[in-house]
Amino acid sequence: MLEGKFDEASLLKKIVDAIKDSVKLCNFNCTEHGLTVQAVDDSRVLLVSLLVGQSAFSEYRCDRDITLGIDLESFSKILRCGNNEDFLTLLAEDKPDNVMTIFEDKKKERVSEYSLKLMDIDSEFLNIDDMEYDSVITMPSPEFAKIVKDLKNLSESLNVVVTKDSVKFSSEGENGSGSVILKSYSDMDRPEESININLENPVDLTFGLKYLNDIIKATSLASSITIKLADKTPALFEYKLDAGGYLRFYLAPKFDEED
Amino acid sequence: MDESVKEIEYISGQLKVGEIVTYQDISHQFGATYKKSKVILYNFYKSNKSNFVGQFIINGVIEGSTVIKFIESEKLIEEAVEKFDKIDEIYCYSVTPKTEFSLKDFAIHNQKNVINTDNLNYYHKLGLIKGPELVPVTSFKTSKLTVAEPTKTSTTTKEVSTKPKKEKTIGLMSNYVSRKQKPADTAGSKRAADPPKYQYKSRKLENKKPEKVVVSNDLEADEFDEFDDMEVDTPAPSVPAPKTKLSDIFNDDDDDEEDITEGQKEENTKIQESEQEEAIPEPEAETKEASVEPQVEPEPEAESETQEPQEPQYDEEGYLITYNTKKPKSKPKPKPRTTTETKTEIKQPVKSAVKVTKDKKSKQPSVMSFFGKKK
Repeated sequence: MLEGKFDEASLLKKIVDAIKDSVKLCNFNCTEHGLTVQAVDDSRVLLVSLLVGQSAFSEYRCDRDITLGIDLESFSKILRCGNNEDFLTLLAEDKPDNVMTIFEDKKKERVSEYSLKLMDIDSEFLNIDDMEYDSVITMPSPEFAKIVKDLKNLSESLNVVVTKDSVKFSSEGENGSGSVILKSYSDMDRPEESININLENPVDLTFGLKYLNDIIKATSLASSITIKLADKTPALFEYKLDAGGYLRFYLAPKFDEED
Repeated sequence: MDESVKEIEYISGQLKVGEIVTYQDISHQFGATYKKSKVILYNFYKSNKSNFVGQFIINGVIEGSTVIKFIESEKLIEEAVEKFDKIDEIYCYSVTPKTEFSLKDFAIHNQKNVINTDNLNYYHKLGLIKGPELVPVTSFKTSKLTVAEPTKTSTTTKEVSTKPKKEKTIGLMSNYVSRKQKPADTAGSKRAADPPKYQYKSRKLENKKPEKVVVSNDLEADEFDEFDDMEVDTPAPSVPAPKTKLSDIFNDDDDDEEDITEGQKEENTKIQESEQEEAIPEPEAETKEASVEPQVEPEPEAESETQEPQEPQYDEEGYLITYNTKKPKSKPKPKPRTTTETKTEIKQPVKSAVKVTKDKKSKQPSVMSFFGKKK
């Protein structure tokens, strides 16, 4: 039996909206520690890894490990039925055919429930070890989103070059080119506005802006994003959930054909 | 007596193993009637009270309804008896070792000795209660019966079918029970905790404003020329244009026209004479340099022309001014040409950029190749 209650429906809404464009179908694995998702997009370039910790729920109970195969587009439609401030409860039996989503208004006496049929989804669970990265950048998530949106207008690829204490995002297309350079910056009053660049080795990587554009849909989940880069390995884009947990994207960099 | 010895041996044997012994066990084991086996069991219990516990059953009436009550030990019989209005029968149901047994254990024990329904007559002889014989009910018979009966059955079926429907409409499918009150308080406290964050925002805004003011003051003090573009509207009377060495005199004349309107007529004539002398050699020499500067300046000129299309003929010696107003109209045209020249310059890197993008044919590998599969 799974019973997980969110204090506000908006959290799950944001999570599903953040990943539904990257992944259409995915398994929500429910354990006593919380919800986890690991899924790869159709082109197998972007890997999504989600953890919604037990602390993110105001009430949580999961007697046995349960896998919920969910069509995210349908689930998103259901989540839109509730108001952002509503309590949201997920209910599922031990061997469920469907998952129940219950919205409860905090002020009014209104309770609504929606049942979503579950699917059998074959998914390969990948073993993601903790890797050592050449550089780690922490910056405000809206700032990163703006850079991606702006440079997406110019090209399909974004080049990220990290050198000592600065990171350069640039894209070059047929109509022009553009670049944004950020340097370390600390704001004591608003630490989430700070930009922190840790560099072990210089990095020069290129990513598909199409995928980065999917990644930045998680911007509303966290005020800052951590980008971990290493040569010829997938970059990690991490949004930490304030309530407990994370949403991580692993994106494979582009290589020159010569390589 | 021989039989009773066998039975006693059976009972004591079962109890030694830790099993429950009921009167039914004795009856089924030895073919004794239920009545007799109850007596045997009670006699055994009476003589071994100290070692075993006896369970009893009371049949009687409490508040008009017949009740069959299970008593776990002899000590509790007196209390139970007081509750009964009328008692039909008290008998020893079972004997157990002194370890604790729950009702569940008795139920499980009974499962072991299930009656063989194929041979019910045998059990009836032992004393199994025989109910009225079952009569097969056919549809014809029901139709022969009074009309009221089938209607009753139909109404009952209706009730059965309608009840679950009502439950569906009234309650939630999930049987979700609201626990609203506690979380609502926590939510309130969270909301109360939020406001301080917004206060920080306001502090930051205050910090930013003075910085901007300082920067702008410095610029104004240092260089006016660079500020021409920024302050097209406000510093018009300061007339920075004459200093900028425009490719032509005409700009200055336009500014002069504005000045004239303000009443500085005498000064203008002197300026015009001096500037004409200076301006003549400049255009040829500076046109090359002007390719950079004019890009900025032609715009305010064009605006001034559009704003003042009428030719002012106020001056006493203003014949030259009427000629000048005609010339600037033709002059702005070549200036955009300089911008077109710059545009052609921009095109060159574009071609190189295209080459670069073509050269950099990049592959997009799969993420799966980086991570090992679990299984």
